[in-house]
Amino acid sequence: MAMSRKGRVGLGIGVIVAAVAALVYFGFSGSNSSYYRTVSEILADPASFQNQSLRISGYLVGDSIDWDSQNVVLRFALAAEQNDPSSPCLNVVYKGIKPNNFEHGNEVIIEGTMDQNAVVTAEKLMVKCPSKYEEQ
Amino acid sequence: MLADLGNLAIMTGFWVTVFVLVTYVVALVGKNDRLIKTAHTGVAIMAVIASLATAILVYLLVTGDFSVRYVVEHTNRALPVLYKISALWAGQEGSLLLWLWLHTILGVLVAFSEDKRNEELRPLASTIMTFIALFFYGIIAFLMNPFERMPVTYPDGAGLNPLLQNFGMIIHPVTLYLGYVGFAAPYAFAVANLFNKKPDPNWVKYTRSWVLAAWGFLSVGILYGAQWAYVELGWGGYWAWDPVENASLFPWLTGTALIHSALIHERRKALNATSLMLAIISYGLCVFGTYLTRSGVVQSVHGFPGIPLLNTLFVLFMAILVIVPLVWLYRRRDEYADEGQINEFFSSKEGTFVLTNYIFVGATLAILVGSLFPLISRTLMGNEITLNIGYYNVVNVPLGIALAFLLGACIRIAWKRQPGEPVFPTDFYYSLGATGVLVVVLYLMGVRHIGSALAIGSAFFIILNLILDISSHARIRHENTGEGGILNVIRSLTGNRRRFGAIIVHFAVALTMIGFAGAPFDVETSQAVRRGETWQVGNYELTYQGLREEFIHGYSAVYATVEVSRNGKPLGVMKPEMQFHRNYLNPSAPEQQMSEVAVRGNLAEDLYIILAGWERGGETATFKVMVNYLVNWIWIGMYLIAIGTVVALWPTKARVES
Repeated sequence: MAMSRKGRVGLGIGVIVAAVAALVYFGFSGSNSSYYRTVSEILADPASFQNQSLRISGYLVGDSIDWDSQNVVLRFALAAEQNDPSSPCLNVVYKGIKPNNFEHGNEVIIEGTMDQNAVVTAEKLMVKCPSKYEEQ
Repeated sequence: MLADLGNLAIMTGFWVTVFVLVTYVVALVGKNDRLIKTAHTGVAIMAVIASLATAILVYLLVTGDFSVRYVVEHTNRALPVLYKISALWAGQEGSLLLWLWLHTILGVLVAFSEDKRNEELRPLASTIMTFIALFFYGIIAFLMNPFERMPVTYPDGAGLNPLLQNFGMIIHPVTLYLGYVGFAAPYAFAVANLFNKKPDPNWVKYTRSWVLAAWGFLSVGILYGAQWAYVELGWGGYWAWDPVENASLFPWLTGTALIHSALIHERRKALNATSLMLAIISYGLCVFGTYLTRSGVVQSVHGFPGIPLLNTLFVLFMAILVIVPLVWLYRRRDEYADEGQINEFFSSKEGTFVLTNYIFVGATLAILVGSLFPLISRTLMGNEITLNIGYYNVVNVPLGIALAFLLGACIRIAWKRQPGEPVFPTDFYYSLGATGVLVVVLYLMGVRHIGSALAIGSAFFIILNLILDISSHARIRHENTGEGGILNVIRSLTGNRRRFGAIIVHFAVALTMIGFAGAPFDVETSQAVRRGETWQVGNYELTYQGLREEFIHGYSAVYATVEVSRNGKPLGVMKPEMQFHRNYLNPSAPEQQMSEVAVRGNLAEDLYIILAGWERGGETATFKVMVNYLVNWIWIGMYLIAIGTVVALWPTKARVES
């Protein structure tokens, strides 16, 4: 045991700090991160966002909801502005079931990629609850 | 009328608090004991006023006074009374009032705690509690007043979000708040200690029960929230690593570290500054958690819309809460230096405690970075980047497993080791070997997920070493008392309630680890079926038999009848449901749809069915079906954590600790 007490303590702390840092580093890699964009940002220049891992938030357009329960496909559009019929929209396809609270005007967050027709295929779909719904 | 009284109460409460704070400061500066007594009385008045305001709001909610904005926005006539009461914490204003109310009650407990040990620090700690109360009184009085009136009286209210109409939503927020608020007491004593002329090395002893109680409430609050998400939100999971969920985890992680470092401080007179820091940061993170939920700074599926002024005030408040004491601690660091020291890092009880604490704090930082990364990347790189579940799993699964194994090892290191005695008893190495064999066997038997196999292995390792530890303690007791058999084992456990409580909690941690291990194997399918059709999910056969509609007060429900069997053995009928809730404030708005899942399960697995839609009057229907493994172990763990915390807190007669 040539190492001093302080040296050993330092070594232990160093190992843990390095391990956590390494885990954080590995955690950042690849598919675990996505760029956050708003609907208006994407519609301004759709071409530049193709095949990127994206996280997009927008407001659900009630009339656009097309829930094909036979094939379990949910199609809908997200508007840049809440309750503004003239607002430009982004089309989304989600292969999954319609979630709770999926109603006109609610803010929806999706994660997925966009194809050349500017349609986003969402792998994840979350409904941000209206202000009335407040957890905690 | 009554709302005006509530308003008056809040305003009076605010000014009383100002007065009490000034009184404390004057009394402390002038060393006037009589004035301190007066201020203590003021603390009681603050609590009475907050209780009155809370009672008035509850009364307004229950009786349905629709001239009050908060009542209109969060209740309606059809709501059952229980949920009318729970509307108290369904909204921003009401939940702040609940926080204030609990805080002022805690303030009374601190000011009037008949504890000889904290006599010296108590006035200063009460001053700090009063300062915190002032912040909450202030924002409720001037920014977030729950007694605000509507221009006209409404005939009915908007109702409570159907997702919140669940028993779990009554328990979860209240327990979580009790945890958040509870950390204020150890915080106040830690800070009082820092600003006191003479450091008090005993502070961890009399704050122990506050810390444990707050931690217990927080644990139950978090797990109850997870369970609510599982049964009510209908996505089949219990934790999504959403920033708001993570917010509740921060103080839990640092609070866990605090419990352990305080124990080392008590036993070894070491880690004093660490404990002080953890107490300060834990409460800071409690306030930060509620700020994160309320501010909208980080995008979350949950949460309140942000209000800029409130956000600014919260940031300022947190800065004062955390930075000032930490700077003070740094300046006086020599006075808070440890008498004792930690000699062995890898081979002593205190050494393993320090290691676990570093992992707890490391995990807190990693989750904090993840949760705030959108904000960090936006500020530093101009591009907002979010991290998904993958990030949290990569970071936390290894850390969690490492912690579990460290825990198992730590149990077996004696507090006092004779010179020359080995670090671990021989059977410890057997337990390690057995765990290794178990992990390999699990893997070969089909648990083809290294994280899961290790998690179950770590749980086995913890439980085995707990049992070995219990038996070695019982053996020593047998040698000393001559008593034998099961009675001896029970008495050796109940003889030291703190140790017994810790054993239960750590046993619970092992069970929770088993619960987490199931997630990678969950099965999920979504498909449309015809009436009478049978389909297979995992080992289950399901037959869709048709739809029914029912009208219940306040909403209508459509439910499907699904006959279920497992490997051919009939299990009965399950009824996943879709509910339609009307918006009473705006009847022309479309009804709010909400699916009510059907879950049936045992210790091994849950069958989880969601009715996702139907066509042609129910000729066909679409179901999302999941088989979730081992989930119930998590809830069992939760109840055991509660029991263990109560056991550890149960008052014992004063006795001499070894």
